[in-house]
Amino acid sequence: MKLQPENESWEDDLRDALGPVPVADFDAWRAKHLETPVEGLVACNNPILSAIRRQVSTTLLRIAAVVAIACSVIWWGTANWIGQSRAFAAQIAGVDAVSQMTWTQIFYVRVTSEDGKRTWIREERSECAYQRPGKYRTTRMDEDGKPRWVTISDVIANRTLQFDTKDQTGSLKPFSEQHDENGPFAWVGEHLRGKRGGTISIVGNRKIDDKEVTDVKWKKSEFGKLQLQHFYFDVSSKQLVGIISMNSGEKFDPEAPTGEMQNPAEEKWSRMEPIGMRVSDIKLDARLDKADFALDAPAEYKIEQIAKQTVTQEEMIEFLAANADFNNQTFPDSLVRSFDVDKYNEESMKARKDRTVAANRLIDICDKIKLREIYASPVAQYLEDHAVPDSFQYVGADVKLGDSSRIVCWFKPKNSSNFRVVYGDLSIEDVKESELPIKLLE
Amino acid sequence: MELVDAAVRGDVASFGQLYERHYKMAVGLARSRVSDVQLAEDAAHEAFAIAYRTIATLQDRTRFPQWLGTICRRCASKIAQARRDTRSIYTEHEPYCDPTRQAMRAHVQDVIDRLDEPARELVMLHYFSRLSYQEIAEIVDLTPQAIHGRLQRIRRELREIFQSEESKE
Repeated sequence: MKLQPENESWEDDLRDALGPVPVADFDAWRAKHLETPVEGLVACNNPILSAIRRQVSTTLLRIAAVVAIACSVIWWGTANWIGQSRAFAAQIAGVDAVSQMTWTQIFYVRVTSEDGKRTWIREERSECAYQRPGKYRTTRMDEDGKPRWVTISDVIANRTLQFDTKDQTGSLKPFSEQHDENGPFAWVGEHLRGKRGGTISIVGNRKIDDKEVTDVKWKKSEFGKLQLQHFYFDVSSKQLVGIISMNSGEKFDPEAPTGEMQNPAEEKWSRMEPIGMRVSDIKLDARLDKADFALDAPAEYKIEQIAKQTVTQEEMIEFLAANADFNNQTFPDSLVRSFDVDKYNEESMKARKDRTVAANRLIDICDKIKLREIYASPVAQYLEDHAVPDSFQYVGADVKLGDSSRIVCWFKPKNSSNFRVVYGDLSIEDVKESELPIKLLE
Repeated sequence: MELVDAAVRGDVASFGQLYERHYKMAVGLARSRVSDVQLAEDAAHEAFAIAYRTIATLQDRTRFPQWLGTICRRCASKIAQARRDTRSIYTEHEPYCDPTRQAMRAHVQDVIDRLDEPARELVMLHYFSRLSYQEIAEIVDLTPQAIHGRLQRIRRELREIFQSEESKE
């Protein structure tokens, strides 16, 4: 059979003979070309993984992000502002270049009784697994210790699947946590190697989970807060086997519970406040099933697709304004820790009618953004999504809110040849680069 | 361009969107050099892998499709060359296909192979990848009107070849 050019449909025949239109399958391509050992990708100077590597990534910060929902202490931290580099002299088992691991994680939450007179500690346990490159599975247990909430993340696919095994509902959304391709606890190495500042001391040996371990204490005072971590290393293998991380001002020992840790729980409560977390039972040789990391919920589950969340320019500017309003009508010295967190927390605990107008304004914009599960600073998130990298410059220290003569910041929006300048009265002007007052960046 | 910027910054999902958007084009371009669909897909995959590794070197980010097209042509040419060098040792198997349809495919491929390379590209991009004149114009740096004119000429040429084939029988 041959193609008949005299037929009117000869072009259709030609299309048919050439076969179906090629169909793109990015997941298959990614599995073949990206899911190779990380070292290989580093060696070929992979720009995408390099960019991921630039992010500071710690489980602690992920935890902090969760903690921030309640106390807003860490949200304004430096995670999205500061890059880190690393040059390891030697590898620590459980810390560096981990290809897979499992561990148990417990959050400790102080619960206050309904009348506000008694407290007790609630434990929220999760079983976690990691597989390189960038796959995580966390199963949070319910109060009876049964698996209830599952979160599966694939950094390379940029997706996180969450589902509730009881309700059989969940969501699939872009990956939004921190990640370090060296492993979930690579941040411990950064602490031990002095990359995060602070002091390190050997507390001594003790028994944890029936293992003889060396207790290494790291502490650091920053912004008037004491950060405290205990890292436990197996005495013989030197492998990281446990971590205890305490929020500022908290001191507790899950191995030897005293005081409120032993108080009985009550049915009704008025307030919950995370006080720290514990990592234990770290295993590097667990057998992991690839299917456990698949972004597939059981077929009968109802899964909602959620698009990437972002911050709009209006919200970013409202955050700057609310920040200045809260800071005595003055823009802060820096956008890192840009407002008094203690004051913010104190206001947050009050009923809306008892707060100042400025506090309500700041809390409203922060809550609005946090409810979208955006834990980066609103300014940082806006810039990441909408501005040319490294084009942002903050010059707002001491600028009074409402001062139209002074510049607070500028940045270059994506797809724009001009820079956008924000003034103290929140007015905006697009100007040429040559019109900016100073040229700070190449 | 936003997707390219994001991919340069490390956003895999954005690279994924670029992949989805330009895959048809890449396979079409490759097929104009290697004929075989599987090999064309291999060439396209390789081209995307190279693009992924080197996207940060792309100077003019508005020209991603053209840049990818260049990489793809090179990959396909390499595969075609390697295939020419090693073909004799292959026993080529195709999945079962209706013999009539298979004959038609072979005939069409044979005719297309007689076109010069730029013409083959346009045929594959238009009839195989099913791209619009506008999309093709973007890749080959011509206007849609020019693509229209060229495809008119190619259609005439194809008809002539098909007709001459017919008259031989």
